[in-house]
Amino acid sequence: MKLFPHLIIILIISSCSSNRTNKKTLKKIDEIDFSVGFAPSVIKHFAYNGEEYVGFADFKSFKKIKLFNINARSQYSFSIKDIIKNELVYINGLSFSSPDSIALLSSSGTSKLFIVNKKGEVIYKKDYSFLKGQETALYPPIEFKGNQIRVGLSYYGKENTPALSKEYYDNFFKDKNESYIMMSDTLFRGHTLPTLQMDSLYMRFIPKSVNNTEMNHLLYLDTKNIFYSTYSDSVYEYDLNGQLKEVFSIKSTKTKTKVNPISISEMMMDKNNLFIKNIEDNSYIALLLWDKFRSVYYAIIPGKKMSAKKTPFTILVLDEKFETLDEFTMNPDKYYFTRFFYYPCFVGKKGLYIQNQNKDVKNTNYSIFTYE
Amino acid sequence: MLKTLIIQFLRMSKVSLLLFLALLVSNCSYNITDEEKLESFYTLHKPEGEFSKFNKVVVINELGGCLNCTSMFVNEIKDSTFKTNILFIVSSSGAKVDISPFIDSTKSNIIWDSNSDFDEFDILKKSGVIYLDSNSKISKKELIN
Repeated sequence: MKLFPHLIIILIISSCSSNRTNKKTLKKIDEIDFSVGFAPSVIKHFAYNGEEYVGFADFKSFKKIKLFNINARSQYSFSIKDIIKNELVYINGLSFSSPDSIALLSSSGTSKLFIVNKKGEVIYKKDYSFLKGQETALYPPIEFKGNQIRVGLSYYGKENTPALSKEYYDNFFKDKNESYIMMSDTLFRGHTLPTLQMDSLYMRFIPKSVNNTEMNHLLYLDTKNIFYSTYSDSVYEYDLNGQLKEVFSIKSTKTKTKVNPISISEMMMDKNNLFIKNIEDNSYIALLLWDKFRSVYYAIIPGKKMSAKKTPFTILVLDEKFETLDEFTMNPDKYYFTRFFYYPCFVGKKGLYIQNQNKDVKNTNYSIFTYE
Repeated sequence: MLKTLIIQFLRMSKVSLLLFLALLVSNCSYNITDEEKLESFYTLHKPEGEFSKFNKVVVINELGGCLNCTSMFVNEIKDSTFKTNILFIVSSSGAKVDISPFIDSTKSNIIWDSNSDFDEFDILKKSGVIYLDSNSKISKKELIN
């Protein structure tokens, strides 16, 4: 009988330690410093011939693209000033198919796509500006893989969006809607026309009386596209033919994810500030990343902005079916997140790269986390 | 007295200055004025400069809902940098607003605050112009978008 309490204690200890070893966590394993030389507005990670690369771009001030391998060794850097000057466009989309094949998308409704080589020379150009006459424009994010491009598409119109159908596709440019959708195009097959791949998305969440402007929330994967919205706590999984396959609800255990859209009349009276404040004060799925090496998604959920440079955020780790595995609170004094324009994180073979708070704008320093 | 204290901290580091000012604002009954914040920030970046010569401070930052408006504003005012009575505080990394006319400029009336430290002072909510009177007091603030 005297042995009984001892056995209980041993059992408790062994079960605790077994839990501890099974419990995965988001563990910081390393830091890496990319000497970019400018503050990037776009970051793209990609793999080519078994090597990992990270491309950085600034389209506003320095107008440069710089490529590193994953060990932060510089591969090349080139200016895009000539493209901007010669083509009379601004650039806001970037995607690498290989280190020597880079897609650039022009902004502000000009809808031009350029494929450049590692010297920054334009080797292929495709003009979608005919869309502008139909109040339609291409928007990032773009994904350039093989000979195909996937890109966001915005258009404006009157009616509510019908379900995706042959008629809808046929009448796509006639029955325009306020919406943000995506299309794909086979780049190098002559005069191919864009293929509509998703039906309308915004209209699922909000009536026409409210402002539907938000960030571009599309995650392009090899076999599917995933859409998520500031105004929804769900993610929408589409196959590559544009069929909605499944809707998954995502729940943060630490933050209430809810943004109520503001009305267009309110927004007009307030010159956009209300929209910014609404986004900055609330939590939502701001970024979704797929980690193919560990078969998990990371959903970044920002909290209320603390100061000009500090936004608290959590990282939700989700399995392939978007079931929550865990959620981690990140220290905004150490780690940088911004809701607008550019998301300073990416996934590589080593893990999840999160940008550190950094005093030196010309060095982009990351912490690497693994979920294990 | 306060100014002397601030200058002493300026000799240390930006972090010390920000911490000092934050402490003052949060803990002391003394309310630091926007003019004092502005002059301290200027002295931090231009220790040998003379703040009293400015009658306008143009602030370019990445705040506000229309950053294209800010880029247009930059384009409009870029040729005014030769005017020595205007101070330009460029609180931007350059990623969101086109600040190319200011990058690498060596002009003494331009402060490139690439880490946007000036935003922490909360003097202007967005890009704009601060007008100073002959006593370097703020007479007006104008936002551009």
